[in-house]
Amino acid sequence: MATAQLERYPSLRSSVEFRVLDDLSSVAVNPESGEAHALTPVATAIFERCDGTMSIAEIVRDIVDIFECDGAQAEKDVIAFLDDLTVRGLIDW
Amino acid sequence: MTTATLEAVPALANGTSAARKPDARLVRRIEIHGVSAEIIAPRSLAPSLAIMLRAYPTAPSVSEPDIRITVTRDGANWRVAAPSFSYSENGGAGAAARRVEWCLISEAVRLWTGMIHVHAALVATADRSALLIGPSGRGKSTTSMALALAGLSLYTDDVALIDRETLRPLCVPRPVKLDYLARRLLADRGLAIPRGRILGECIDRTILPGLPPIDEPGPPIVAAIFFSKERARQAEARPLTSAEALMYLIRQSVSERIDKSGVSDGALALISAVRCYELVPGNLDSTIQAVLTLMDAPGKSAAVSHGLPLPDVVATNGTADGAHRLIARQT
Repeated sequence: MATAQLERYPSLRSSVEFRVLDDLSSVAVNPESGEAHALTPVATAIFERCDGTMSIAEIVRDIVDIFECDGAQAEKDVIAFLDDLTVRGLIDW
Repeated sequence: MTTATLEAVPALANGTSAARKPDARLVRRIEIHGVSAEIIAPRSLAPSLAIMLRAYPTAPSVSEPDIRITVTRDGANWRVAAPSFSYSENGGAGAAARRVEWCLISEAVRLWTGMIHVHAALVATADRSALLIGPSGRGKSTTSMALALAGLSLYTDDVALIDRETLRPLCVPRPVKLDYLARRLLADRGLAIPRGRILGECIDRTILPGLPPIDEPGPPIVAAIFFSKERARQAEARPLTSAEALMYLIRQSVSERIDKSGVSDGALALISAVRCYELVPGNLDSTIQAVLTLMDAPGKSAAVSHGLPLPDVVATNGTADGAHRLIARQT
């Protein structure tokens, strides 16, 4: 993966209502599209790091540490997930 | 035999049409969970209304009930008018009576602001309750009635009411709807319906087992079990995350919602308090056993799964089937 891509900084769109639940799953509501999304605990861990201060590379490192998973697979999946969030209008760059 | 029948119906015995003769009015007053209702209808609707409303608590007369439902008849056409709804029914007295009860419960749900509403069956043992949640046709009524026949209390088979403060369930004594196949299946388990106690698929609630005291809250809810549209030979359950459960719950609730400000507090409180599962129903025996097992499971939801493999992130939030996508209702 190109280093430049890993140095991008995702940021949760300010209009999105995001609520983490007791089991660390979460609900994200996009009022602009009128859609709500259920996020698994893993997705939540990625999503809540989208605060504009962490690069993709840093988010991947956190995810690998927390979930003790393979780095290459985590990088691929985090990027795919962030792309999905972008399409859904939940994050900006 | 024919003569006796005519004598029993004076309008016919006199050689006039019953429809043309002024129909005396009946008034039925109900009070349930703090909401009062008055139903005014032609007396000829009495037998059908009795099946639909017999289990509702009768209330003393009040000058201004919260809900007033008026039924009028013009030939074959019955008009049912409620504060928020007005319907014409030409399917006879049975259709009119079913509409009256539907209007009653629909109006009441709007007024029960201190309650969480879920389109669900709610069953209880002596010390714990479970919600069986899902759209119509997924087996909630059949499963819950089978559990009632096995000795559980049946607080409702489709309109679950939960006190927002205590999260305890309350009984809603609607007639239970069971189609012919369900009735035949349950007959083997002891379901017996006396003549004259069924209207279409609606069965007089008072003749069915498991009716708890209407004014007393039931035991705490320990599980919310979402009935899948899929079917299996043997019932299968999987834990749901709280977020998944919230989505499913809100789709089946009038009172709870997701809007621009987020998720309603009642839905959050309920989901946080119970274990949440998706159940793929199987044959009735295995479905009943699965519900009982899930009710007995210890602790809060087993859905916490920090160790999920990462590919699930994308799969769970994928667009393929829209399973986790919800068009929020706008306020």
